[in-house]
Amino acid sequence: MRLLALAFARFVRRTPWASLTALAGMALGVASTVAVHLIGQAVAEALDARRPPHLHNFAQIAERPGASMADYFDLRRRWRAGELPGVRGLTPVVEGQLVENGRRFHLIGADWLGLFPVRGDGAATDAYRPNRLLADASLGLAEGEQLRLQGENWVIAGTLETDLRGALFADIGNALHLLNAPPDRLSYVGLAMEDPWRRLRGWLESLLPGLSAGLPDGAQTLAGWTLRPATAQLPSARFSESVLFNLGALGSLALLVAWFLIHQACVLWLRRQDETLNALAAIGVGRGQLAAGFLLSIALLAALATVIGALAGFLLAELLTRVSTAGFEAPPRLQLSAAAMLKALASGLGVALIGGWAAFRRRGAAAAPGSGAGRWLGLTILLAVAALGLGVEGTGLIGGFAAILAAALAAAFLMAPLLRLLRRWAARLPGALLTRLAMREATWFEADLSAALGALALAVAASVGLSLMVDSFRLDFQRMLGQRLAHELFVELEQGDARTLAAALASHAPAARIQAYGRLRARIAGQATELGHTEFTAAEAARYGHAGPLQDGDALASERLLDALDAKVGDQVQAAGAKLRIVGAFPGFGDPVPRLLLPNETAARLFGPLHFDRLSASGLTAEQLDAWLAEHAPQAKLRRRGAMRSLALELFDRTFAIADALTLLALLVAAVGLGNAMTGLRLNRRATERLLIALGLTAGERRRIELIRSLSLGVLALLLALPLGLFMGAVLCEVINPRSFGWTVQLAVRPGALAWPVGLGLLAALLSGLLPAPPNGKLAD
Amino acid sequence: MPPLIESGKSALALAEVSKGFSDGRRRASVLEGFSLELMPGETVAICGPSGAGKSTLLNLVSGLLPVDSGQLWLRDGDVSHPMHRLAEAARTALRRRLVGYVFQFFNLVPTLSLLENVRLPLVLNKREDLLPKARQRLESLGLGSALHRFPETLSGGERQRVAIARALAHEPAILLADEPTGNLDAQASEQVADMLWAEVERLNCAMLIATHSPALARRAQRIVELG
Repeated sequence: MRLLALAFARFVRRTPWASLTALAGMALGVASTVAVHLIGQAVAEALDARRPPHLHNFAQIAERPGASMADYFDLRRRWRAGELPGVRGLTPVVEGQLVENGRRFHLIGADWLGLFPVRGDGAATDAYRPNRLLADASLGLAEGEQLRLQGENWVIAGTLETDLRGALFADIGNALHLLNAPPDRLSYVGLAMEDPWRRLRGWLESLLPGLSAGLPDGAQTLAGWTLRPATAQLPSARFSESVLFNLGALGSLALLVAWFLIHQACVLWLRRQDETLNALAAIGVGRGQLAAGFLLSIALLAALATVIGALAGFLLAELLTRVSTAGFEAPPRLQLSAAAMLKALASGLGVALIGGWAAFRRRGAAAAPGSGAGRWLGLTILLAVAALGLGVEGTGLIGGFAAILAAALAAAFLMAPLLRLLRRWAARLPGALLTRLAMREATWFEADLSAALGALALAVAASVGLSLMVDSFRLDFQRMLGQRLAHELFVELEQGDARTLAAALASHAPAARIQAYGRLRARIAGQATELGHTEFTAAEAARYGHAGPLQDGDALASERLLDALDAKVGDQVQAAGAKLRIVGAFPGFGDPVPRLLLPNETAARLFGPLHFDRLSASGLTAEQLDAWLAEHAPQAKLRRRGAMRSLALELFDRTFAIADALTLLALLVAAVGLGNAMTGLRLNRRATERLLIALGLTAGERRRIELIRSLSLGVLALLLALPLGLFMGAVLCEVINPRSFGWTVQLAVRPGALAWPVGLGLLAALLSGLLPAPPNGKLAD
Repeated sequence: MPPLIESGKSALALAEVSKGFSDGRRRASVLEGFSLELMPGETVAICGPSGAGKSTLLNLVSGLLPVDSGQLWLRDGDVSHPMHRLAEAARTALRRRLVGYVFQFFNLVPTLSLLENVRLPLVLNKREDLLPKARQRLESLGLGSALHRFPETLSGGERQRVAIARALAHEPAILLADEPTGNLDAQASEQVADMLWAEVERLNCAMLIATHSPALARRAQRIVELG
């Protein structure tokens, strides 16, 4: 046995070319797995750190009409008495608006002791004391700074990076005092509930960061109260989670391609050991011993590949995040976690051993094709999963991506039968003989190529789907910008009232069209919403795609709000005790918060005195306005339409930079996988190659055959990748976007959007044929 | 230049040809000062134990391997080509035109039909005018109904006969056969040998045949022992 182990171990050393290609294939697969995981993990951690303190440990909120502190204490009593077994903790929360010196604050009060410790860093644990507050970093306040509110001095005990811009956090007593509210006022109760998905969520999150956001929320109930996920109060967090989920799902596709590559490396490695295995079998070495020896050599390579791949993956993730977050204030920080190492080990050693074992088993089995019935059953199950994920809204994001994954796997499994079908058809190919020879070879070696081609098809399809979605999204986004940026100049004020400023400007430049805007936070049917208000003339309403002016009681809702409220245009919604009629909807791409737009008079009627913080102007030059502002509002920020448009598009493109990088990585991995498969193919067709040389084919002619074959393989991969990519694009636009962000994107299939991924797919196939081949005599080293 | 080549009488001439292989540390000589001349239509069997250099000799003649020293000439009509002085590209061009090669195994391209396999050297040599003849030959071998079938559907003997038809389709000056019956049973071997000699006689080409089979070697006009 020792001698056997030595024979296999020596094979690794004595066949440097074969060992190196297998090692490189496995290491790249591991690197891709680790890189994708680290990026997702870093982004997830960065998002988690932005959760505001009053909801830090709470997954749900409970509310009821006219809720008071007495209701809270009743709830608390029932909980202490063990009547609420699903509840693990609760805290009362009050929210309100404060306007001080023309500056608007969103004040949130919670039971600080109930939340203790507020945050892991412990920096703000004394914020519950009298006259102390925590401030969101967007307010630009420093720790220790004094803030004058309601005629009193308040100390900023700490600042936090949260998703609630302009928010101040206080102990509930302090908040009630500042809001001048009666002591029994209650906005809602934060709840920590037993989550039936908690364990699965944690497990999934550690393995595939971001994917747990796609799991449905636990269906808990509390008699007399309406329960909502805490993220309903943090729409921007929900938005970020959706982005992360999309990233995680894309990462899982990249993982699948990486596993294909590792498996392909094992198959090639086995092929190279054919001679050794045959020789050993001929002298009576048992199948079990051969398998053990082969797996030992695989394990040696895979262990080394895992270490190299993990390190390379870390560096790759660093590079990708650096490129895609260039210019960010705090780019995500990467850490080689235990989960990442576990995944590297599972992908490297695990997939290599399992894939190697499967390849070894197949080698011994008769060359009969797999059971047709089994394949059709598998295909039917995958298609059923896809149909379920798409058809049942309740399956949420996981359903959408399960559909994509199932369709991708089904397509990959279809590659082998497709090759068999094309092989029959290829016999009748027209054209020059050498070209025909090359094109036929692309369909001939199903066992060598189908897995790698499937992986390439999957990577190209992901790239096509993403490219279509991004292109369609960009088109809609540009259309939206065209509408919204109807004014030439925009002014933002940090302090002071924009309406007063607008009136002064109007008297200074009577020909100009000037409009003042304000916004406030409110909860519409329990959904945290940003309310925007202005004078909604027909021109202003046209900015949101609505024809005609808005009347008192009319409102325009973002698609995201309609989705959250399960409402449609023409419905009525409750706001501050009054009914509003939704007369139109707008996409609101990029708005992390659901929005409702009202005429000034409606907003004033429902929410009291209004505060205006922005204005727009057309009909005067930027220089004129800049000069006027320097005199009347020196702290105001002036933005030009062109600059805003460029910035918006730049941000849009940057949002998809990581996704682009991941699809490129998957394509690279697939190209190397196909390159490995091509080396296997070369081993298989050594005799043909020898024959062609003997017939007098020149090196150039043989190279041409290689190129045509590679291109044909690329075309074959595209045969599956294009329909699959179109399907992915449609699912991303029609299912994933509405389910994750609440907006719809009109799928547009433009040649320009297809050219890049199709070109990359063909290039990947071409490169795989051009990868340096070992000298002919050294194919098996 | 060897005199028979110079006079235009021989199709192939080797003079004092040597060839060896090195594994980086040691050099093993396979052929040392080997000389041979073949007339058109002449058949020579190369015999000898494994490792004696039979296949190496065929590879040198076909230009697949360069000679280390000595002279190797191929006659092409009125012109004699010094293979020993030519670069690989030129040797390849000559092999394509002047040489037909039959191996023991793997004689056909699996992704081409029988007819396409035979057509391949004609396409390479731009001699598709010879296709009807080649087709006729296949039909005379009883393969007329299998012209568009792929090699995997044929028996070993049938494949080898198609391989011979392919090797001779472009009417080369020299046929090289490396153990052409080594993989066949006695009956198929006999059929293949009959076909080889009949075709060589018909085309008047020189044949160099490497074999372990005494029966096959005896059919040749001359036997050269190596090793």
